[in-house]
Amino acid sequence: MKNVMVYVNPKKDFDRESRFLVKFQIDNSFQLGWKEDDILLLTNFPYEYGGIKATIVSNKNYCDFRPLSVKTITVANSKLDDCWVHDIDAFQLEPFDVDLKGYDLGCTDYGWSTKWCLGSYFYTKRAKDILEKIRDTIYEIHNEDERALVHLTSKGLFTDRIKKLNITYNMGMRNIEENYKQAEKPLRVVHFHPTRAGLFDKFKPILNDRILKLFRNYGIE
Amino acid sequence: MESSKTIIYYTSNREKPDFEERVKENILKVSMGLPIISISQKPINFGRNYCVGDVGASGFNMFRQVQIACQIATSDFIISAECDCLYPPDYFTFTPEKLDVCYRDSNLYVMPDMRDFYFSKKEGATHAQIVGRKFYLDTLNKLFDGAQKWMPEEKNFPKERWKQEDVFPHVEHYHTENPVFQIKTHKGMRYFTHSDRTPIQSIPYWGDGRKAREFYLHGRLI
Repeated sequence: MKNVMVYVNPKKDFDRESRFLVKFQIDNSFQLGWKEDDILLLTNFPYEYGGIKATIVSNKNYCDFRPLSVKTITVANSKLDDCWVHDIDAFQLEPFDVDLKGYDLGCTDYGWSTKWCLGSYFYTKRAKDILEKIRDTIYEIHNEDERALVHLTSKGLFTDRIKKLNITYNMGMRNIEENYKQAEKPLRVVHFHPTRAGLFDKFKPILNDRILKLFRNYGIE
Repeated sequence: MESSKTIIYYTSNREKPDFEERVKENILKVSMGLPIISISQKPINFGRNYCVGDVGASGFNMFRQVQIACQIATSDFIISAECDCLYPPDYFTFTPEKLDVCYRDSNLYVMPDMRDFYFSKKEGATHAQIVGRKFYLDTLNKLFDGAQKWMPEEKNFPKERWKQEDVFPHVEHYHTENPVFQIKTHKGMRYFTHSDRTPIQSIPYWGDGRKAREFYLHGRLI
C-alpha cells in the first residue's frame, strides 16, 4: 500500500502552513514504518524533503471553484496502486493495514453527519472509475468531491463497491468527543490544523506520546 | 499561534429548515473546527446553542442575540455567520490585526428572492465580518444602554434609536479570494438590501446562480 498526499496550487509552492505540514507528514510516515518508495507526494512543482521527491502532476488538476477537491481530481487523473489517500492535515497515529474485504474504495463519514467524507480514504486500482466519475460530477454539479460522491451514491451508483470505514480512520475537527467514543482504538488518523488556535489543545488528549513528541519537535505543544 | 476566533451563528429560525440545514452543514465543513456559538429563537443542534425563545425577527433582536453570544464567547475575535448565507473556506481563515475595528468582507454577493443570479455588494454587510469580541460587546452595550430586552418593532436597529445607520460607524474592508453570498427569501428579516443591481450569472467558487440556488435553497443538484 502507498501513502499518497496531494498538493496542487497555482502559485506552485506550499503556503506557510502546508510547508510545515508536509515535512511533518513525511517525518511522521517514516516513524510509522513507511518506506521511501511508498510515500507518494503529488505536487505541481518540484519539492524534496527527507529523501521524498515529489511526483510532478499537471496544473490542470487544480480546481479553482473547489480547491478542497483537488486531491480527488488528481487521484482520478493519476495511475495509482492501492493506497491510503489523505489530506496533508490528516495525521496517522498508528501503523495500519486496512482490508477492504473486496470493496474497491473505503471511506468514512463525518460522525456528525452520515454523508461521505473524503479527507482520508483507501483506494484500490479497481476504484479508478469511481474516482473518475466523482471528478466528472464535481464539474457537472459545480460542487465538492464529497457532495459529488453523495450525489452518485444517492442514485444507487457504486454503493456495493464502497465500504464505510470506522471514524478512527478520519477523526475530524467537529464532534470530537462523540466521534472518539465511536472510534476503534487505538485511534488511527486525526484530521486537524495543529497551528490553528485552540485546535491542538482539543486534540491533545487523544494523541499518542509518539506524535506528541513529534509535534513538540516542531514547536507545537 | 494565531488569535482565537469564534463563529457566532444567529438566526430567528424563519427560513425553511432544510435550507438552514444546508447553510449549517456548509459552515461545519469549511470552518476548520473553529468553535461555534449558535444563538437562535428555536433550539438547534449547532455548536453551543443558546435559545432565546421566539422573540421576533428584527434588527434590534438580532443584535441582542449577537450581544448575548459575545458575552458567552471568550475568543479574541467574533466571526459572523447568518442563517441565509453561504461562506467559502477562506472566509474563516482571515485574522485581522486590530481588535478595535470592524472588518467587512468586500467580496460579497446577494441573490435576490426568486432570482437565480447574483448582485454584488461591495460595501459588505453584518453577515460577513470579523470583529474583536470585546470591542463588539462594548459597542453593543452602549447602543443597548437603557433599552428593554427585546424589541421586534425596531427593524433597523440602531437607526430608530440612535439615528445611526450602522452599529459600526467606521469599518475597514478585506477581500477574501472566494465570495460570500446571501440568498434572500421573503422569510428573511429584510426583503430589500442595498447592492449594485447588475445581474451576475456566475461567481467564483459557487458558480452558476441557477445551480447554486437549486442546491442550497431547494436541495436539488442539477
